[in-house]
Amino acid sequence: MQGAALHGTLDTRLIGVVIFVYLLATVLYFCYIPFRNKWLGRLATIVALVGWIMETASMVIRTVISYKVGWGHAPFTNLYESMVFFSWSIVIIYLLIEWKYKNKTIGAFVMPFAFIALAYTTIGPGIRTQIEPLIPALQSDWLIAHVITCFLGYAAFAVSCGVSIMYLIKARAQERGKDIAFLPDLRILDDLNYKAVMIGFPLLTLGIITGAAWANYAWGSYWSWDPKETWSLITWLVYAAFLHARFTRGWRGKKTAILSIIGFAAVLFTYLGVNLLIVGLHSYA
Amino acid sequence: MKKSEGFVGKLWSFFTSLKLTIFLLFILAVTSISGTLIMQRANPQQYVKAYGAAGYRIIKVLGLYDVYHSWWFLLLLAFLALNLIICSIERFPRAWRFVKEPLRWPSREVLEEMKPLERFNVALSLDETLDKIQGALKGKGYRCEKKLDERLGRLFAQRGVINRLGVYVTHTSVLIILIGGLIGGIWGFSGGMTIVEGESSRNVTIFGSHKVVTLPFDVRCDSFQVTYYPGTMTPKDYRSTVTILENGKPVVTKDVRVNHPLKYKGISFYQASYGTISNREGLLTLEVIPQNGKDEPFRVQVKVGGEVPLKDGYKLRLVAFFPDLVLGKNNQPMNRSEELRNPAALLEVEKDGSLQYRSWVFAFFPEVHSVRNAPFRFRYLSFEGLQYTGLQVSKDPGVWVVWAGCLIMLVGLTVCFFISHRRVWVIVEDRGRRRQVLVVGNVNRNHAAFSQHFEELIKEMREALGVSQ
Repeated sequence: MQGAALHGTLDTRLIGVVIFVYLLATVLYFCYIPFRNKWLGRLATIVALVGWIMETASMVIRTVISYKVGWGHAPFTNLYESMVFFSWSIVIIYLLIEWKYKNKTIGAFVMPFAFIALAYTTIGPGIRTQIEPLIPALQSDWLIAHVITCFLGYAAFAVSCGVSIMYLIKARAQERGKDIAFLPDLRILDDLNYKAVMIGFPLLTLGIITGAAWANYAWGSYWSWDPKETWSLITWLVYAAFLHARFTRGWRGKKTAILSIIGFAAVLFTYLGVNLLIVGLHSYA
Repeated sequence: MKKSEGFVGKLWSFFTSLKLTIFLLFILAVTSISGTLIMQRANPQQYVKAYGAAGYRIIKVLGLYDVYHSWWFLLLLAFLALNLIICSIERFPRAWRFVKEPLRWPSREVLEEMKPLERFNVALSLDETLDKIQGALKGKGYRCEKKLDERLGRLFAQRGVINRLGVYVTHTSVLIILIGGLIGGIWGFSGGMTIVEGESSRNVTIFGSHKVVTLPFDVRCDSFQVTYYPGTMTPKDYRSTVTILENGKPVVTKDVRVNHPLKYKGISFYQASYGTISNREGLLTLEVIPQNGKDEPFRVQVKVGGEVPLKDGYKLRLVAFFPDLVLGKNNQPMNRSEELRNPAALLEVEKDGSLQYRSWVFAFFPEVHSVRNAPFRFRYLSFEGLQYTGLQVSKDPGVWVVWAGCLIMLVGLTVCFFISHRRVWVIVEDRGRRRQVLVVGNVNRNHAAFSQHFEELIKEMREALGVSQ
């Protein structure tokens, strides 16, 4: 629904504002990198946090409205709602990592994911912002556990992807003899990459397991090799390869950075590609 | 561990390789993609239509019509399992030995080469010093062991040693899950059964084949009902009331709904689909609204193909009923499915034997009328046709094995990622007027966090011992 963020209910109007807040945060984080001004960094974090609080409010409001309309449900049931939740997860996981490891330069490479996800909700085809009632298959508590764990996992993988991009940029510059001083040390980036995957992998595992439990209840089979399930497994296998690569000589650093990026591409295909591309191929029911 | 370099030895070495693991994980990931792009378990005609005859032959030879049950995919899984088992056999003994003996009392020379390391002097006695240090360590969750001579005291403290075994727990869980899947694949089944309201059946058609499994009991569909969210076309609930009969006697009656299966004797029944048999005994209920301004609206019921009188000599005939109307080629009305998703009725109004007009009536679009200035308007109220329920029936004796494996995997991942093996060695030497304390720490992962933790530990020790910072 084009331009739905500008009209529509209070929650979608809030999201329209949050899009610009995240854009501002991204710009601030980008400016922080060369200047390293403490106040610029603090402002960037505050702006990101404010955006996240507004996004949380939007999701709460949407839930309340849905109950008022008569078909109450948590806000993760269609593509619009899951995109909002995806960007929400990215920001909170990012802010937690920034707080724990006191490193604001990553912000410039992770906040764009949150901004793009939200911006996509205004222009993407197949996005419906209306609050819709749940078809019987979605009426389950497993829905909440499954969606939350999957998206928090995806968010952690988004961070690892951003960090890996930074790694490759810096490594490439170093190979050419011109270091980029304001990007963090390669070892720090490599370590952050690993730590983000260490958060994402158990979450994705839990997400796949809750999905299987739900499928078992709803459709009688915990694993039917349908495209969504299969692609989530493909993603899991890529990150499993990543974890094993860490212990193999010569595989640290650049190769694991590339693996993280491939992994995130698999995440995006699992989340969006399957719905948008495979169903369109009419491969099967 | 040197093994003979014969063929078996070489094979064994091959399977202990971590690079093999990475390769297998990757190959499994890439080949799995094929099964998501090529339709699985379809009829040969569908493949020929989509890929041509030559394409179908390639698909058939490579087993791409059922990727995840093809011989090469199962072989890859077998290789991965073998890789897993052999790596564990190769490395577990060493890990276990280490857990049993984690280098409790290394020499001072060895310790002095390690980091992080702290040295300081205290005035307290040997005994008191050791006690206070032990207290600080215990406060941080360590288990301590003590050795005390006349002039030398030693402590060995560790926590999180279980982390050394975490990887074996995780890998075992993968094997358990694979075994669970295997059990289900061999001794389980999954198929469907269609039962018309009021009838019963004991035959299950297996998905992807034409085999039929006969259950040792009867399943009867007492009734089926779909409810919609008020004012919308979105279904809210699909519900089948099902009775199980043993030797003709009802044993259990339950409502089967989506996400709420019926389980009986290890077999599960799931609400999967339904349909309306729209040309047999179906009864349409309409509200008739006379347009002459003086008569009140009234209700009629008419069967498909039947007729019913209206007022003033008019008669109504129900020509056809479509449970799920769509317009096909050339705007031909047809059913998209047999579910009541877009109910529509085609009516004919006649008077004195001649046709006056035809009218469509839609359940979800009451404002649509094809005839102007008609003597009657109609409103769809309900359709009671015979319905059938489509149940998915499955038996999977391996499912609890799989859940156990999943739980163990979560435990294993937690132990691997969120616990680290921390060791602290303390040597206190009596040097006459002072006691000299040496504290050395070591961790097997997450070194940055351990450095911080070690600093805090030292701070607490110094405070307890009354040493200035």
